[in-house]
Amino acid sequence: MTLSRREFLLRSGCGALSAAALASGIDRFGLVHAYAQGTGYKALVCIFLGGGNDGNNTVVPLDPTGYGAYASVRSAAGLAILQDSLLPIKPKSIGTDFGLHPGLAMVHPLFASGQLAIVSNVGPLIQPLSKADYQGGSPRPYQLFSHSDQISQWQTSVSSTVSGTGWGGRIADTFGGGPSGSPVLTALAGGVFTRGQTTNPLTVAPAPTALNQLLVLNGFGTASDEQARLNAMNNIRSIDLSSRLVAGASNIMQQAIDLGKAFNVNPTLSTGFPNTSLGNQLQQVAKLIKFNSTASAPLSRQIFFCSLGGFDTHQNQVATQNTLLTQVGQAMKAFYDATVELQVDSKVVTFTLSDFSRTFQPSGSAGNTVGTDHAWGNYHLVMGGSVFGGDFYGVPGLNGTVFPTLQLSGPDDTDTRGRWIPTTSVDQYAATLASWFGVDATNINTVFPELKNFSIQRLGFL
Amino acid sequence: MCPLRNSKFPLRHEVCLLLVAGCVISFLGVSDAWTHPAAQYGTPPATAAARFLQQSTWGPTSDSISRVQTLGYDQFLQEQFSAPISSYPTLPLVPSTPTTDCPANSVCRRDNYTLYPVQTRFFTNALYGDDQLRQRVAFALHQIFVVDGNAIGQGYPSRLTPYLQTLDRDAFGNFRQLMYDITLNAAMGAYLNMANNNKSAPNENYAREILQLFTIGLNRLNPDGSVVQDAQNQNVPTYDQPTVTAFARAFTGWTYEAVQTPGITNFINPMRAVQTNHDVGAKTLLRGVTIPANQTALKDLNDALDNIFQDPNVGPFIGRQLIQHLVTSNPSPSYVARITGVFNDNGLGVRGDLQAVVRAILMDAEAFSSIDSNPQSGHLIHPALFITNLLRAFNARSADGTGQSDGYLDPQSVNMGMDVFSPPSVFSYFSPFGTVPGSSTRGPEFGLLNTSTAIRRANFVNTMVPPNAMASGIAAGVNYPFNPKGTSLDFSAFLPLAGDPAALVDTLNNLMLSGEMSSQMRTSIITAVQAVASSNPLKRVRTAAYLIASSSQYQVER
Repeated sequence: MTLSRREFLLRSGCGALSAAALASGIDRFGLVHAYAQGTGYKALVCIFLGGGNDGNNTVVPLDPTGYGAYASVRSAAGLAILQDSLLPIKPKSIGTDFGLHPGLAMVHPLFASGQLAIVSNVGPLIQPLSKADYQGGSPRPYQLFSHSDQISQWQTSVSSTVSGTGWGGRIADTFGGGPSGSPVLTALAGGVFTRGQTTNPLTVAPAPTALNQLLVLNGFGTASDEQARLNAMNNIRSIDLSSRLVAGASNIMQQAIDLGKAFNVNPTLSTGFPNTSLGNQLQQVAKLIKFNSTASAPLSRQIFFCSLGGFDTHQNQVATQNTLLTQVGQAMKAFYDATVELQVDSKVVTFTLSDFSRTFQPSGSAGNTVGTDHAWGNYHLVMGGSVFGGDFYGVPGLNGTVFPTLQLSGPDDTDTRGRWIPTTSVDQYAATLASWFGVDATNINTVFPELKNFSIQRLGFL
Repeated sequence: MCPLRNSKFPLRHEVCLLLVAGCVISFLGVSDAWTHPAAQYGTPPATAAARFLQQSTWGPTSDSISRVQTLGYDQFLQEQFSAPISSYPTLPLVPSTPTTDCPANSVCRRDNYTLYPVQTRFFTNALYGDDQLRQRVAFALHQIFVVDGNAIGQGYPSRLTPYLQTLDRDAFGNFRQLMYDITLNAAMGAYLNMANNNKSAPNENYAREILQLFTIGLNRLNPDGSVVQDAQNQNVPTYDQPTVTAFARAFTGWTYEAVQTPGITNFINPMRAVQTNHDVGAKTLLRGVTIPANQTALKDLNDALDNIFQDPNVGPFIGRQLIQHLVTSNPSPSYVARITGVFNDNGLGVRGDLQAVVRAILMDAEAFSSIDSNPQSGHLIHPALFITNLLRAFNARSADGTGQSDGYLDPQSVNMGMDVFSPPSVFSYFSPFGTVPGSSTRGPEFGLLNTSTAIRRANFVNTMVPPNAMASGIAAGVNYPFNPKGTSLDFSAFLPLAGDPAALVDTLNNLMLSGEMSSQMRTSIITAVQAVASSNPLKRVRTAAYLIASSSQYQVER
């Protein structure tokens, strides 16, 4: 119980919790165990926000001090969102209000109704790192502030060295393949997240491609000469494998053909999805979940990877981020509704990742030149019926809260521009998701090799 | 000793010795003497010529194989270096918002507000242009100095063409010139925020990416491309955040050139300096080099570019990627080191001579080495190269066969994961560090190959080469502006061989696989061809062509 109490205390970084809240937290921890030990279906759905979503404009404090600190840095350049435009949220365990970016209007109600949680100031870390540690040269993730490296660190949960496998892939490895050889992991977009030691993801096109049209070879009829051609094609794919590149390409094709045969129907959904990049990806995920549920030998675990790019808002951030977060909010809400339709809303957890947050201090000074540069610790969303929503989660920093101090050159800034040193690591965030998913205590440190560097290993949002 | 073990090369010992000698000569600084030895020994075999053309063009054709055989490698390269540039025409700049006489779905909208004109031009240049090598190298440079044509404002093709012209013009020039021209190119200025980067709040975007992606990379490299390790076996970063900040400051003060037409931003001319927006403080750049205060924006820019250009990382960082784009995903360290040597000094004391670098890459012994000697050799061809390889092999024409293809092939490429001139991010279409799944073997183009696109590659072949239908290719669109002429393939040259399946397969092997087909694969295809009635020669030819083009053995060029 020590662990559970400690985890729970982390939820908001707020030490003064009522006995009732503490009790409910313990109940929740009990639920976590029930899920982990159960055999029912579960799915993880990752949404990668490519380019680095600016967390400082995704979640904004609304208390006078917090908003004042925010506005003092961002208003002059026109980057601050007006107080009455922000979508207010009242976190359960914190006395002050916060505001969500107006683009997230569609998922905003899920916070109050308890299916949406927010993890605060999370980012790649090798070990806990204060500003003094940072300045003193303690181990830090390699190549900070570079897109490709921070993408890799978020997707691999390895920050000390380059990893060829992602944490989605490594979770999938621990479950093996499905009874029909279908991989646990399905990619709607590319990313190292999906690669395991043994797991090769199934990659499929987003909606509107029908499931039974996903992986179909065209041009083969039943005539004997066409069957002869098919036989030859199959044979050619099985030879000349001493070349690693030929073998690599042929293996992918073989997997595609094997799996393509399994998709024999195209399930339909009542829930409507926006016709956007992310909407079409998440619609396909919902259809794949439905398809799996009706398969003769369904997978008990599935992981999905989706991605939406364009968040690298060095310029024109106000318009760009609004467009993108609107797309995110609409697609996530549609997907949540679809999981309700499929009666798996408590079995599916959807969460965001992104390269990094962006500098608190704007770059550019006028009109559409205003944007932000690459930074570090960020806010992320977790959505699902099993999520202990309506609250913030994370590890408190030296200021006693899970939030960075919004001050340029301040106690959480790496330099002068407001790049927040995370207090919560990707490992802790990801391991919380993986534990709910059913990765056991033995495997968790294999899947997350740097998790052992953190005394707190679950964040309590599941 | 000899790195060259090529069973198909008739003069292997002599060639090997001469290649080694050539390298030595090259290192001694007599690069003009660096001619491929095979040229001195008569006609290159057709299969070796085909392989050379896989590496240096958008795909071998019967004519180009003959040309290499006639000229020899060195003269062929010389011809390529001096061929007139196909390039891209300068298009009129247009208003940000289309006028009412340019409605949706019109030819006007297509030609002014989508990438259609540059994408179709890209494919027609690749299919028909004489400057094949220049186009290959320019496209490789585009994949390093990335601009997304759809991220500089509605994909206006007129905004992108000056960038594409720059890549074409500088492909065989000096790398330092390329750095300068790209840095001040307006499309790049828009894409990575070099334009209007102001001293009051310097934007780090261009500063970071020119270092990380365009020139030196993140880690200190040895000349052979391996990563330098310090005493604690850690990588040594080439720069840190203060360096990025310093470059961002050095690059302040640039904006678009004065407009040519009121209200329309000038993307044609290079950007111009506005000294009052330039940060004139001193800056500490790479390797601790400091540039003094109170310099002009142009002087700071040139000092900053010189500082990058002189970094020892540029040779291995750029050389390795050009090798990967042209020859192999997994060059040996010594191959990279040889190219670094040429980058550092072309033999005449000139650093950054791209023509010398390209020549050295293509003439290197390793580019000619036996495919059987190295299980990591070659590279998966990316979708655009896959398309052009297949289409060039079979004399791509318009749908009715009377003229040229319209080049409207980007949708096919998109289907296979590559939207030409619109990569998903500044990290391009795929990472140069990408690997073959489940292995540590480098395979950058595997970033675009997955269960979905693998099937689509085969289905693209079926679109162009359907053995079960008489019609083939991409139909011309009547009353549809996007594919006015369509694309089809011409198999007539191979019909006379249909009665002799072995001869047919051997001929296609030489053209499409540079003679590298294994005996098992050959037997398999011959069996399938024989299953087709001899009364249907076209179906026989297409059956063989389908089986080769859909194979991994074809899509991995070794």
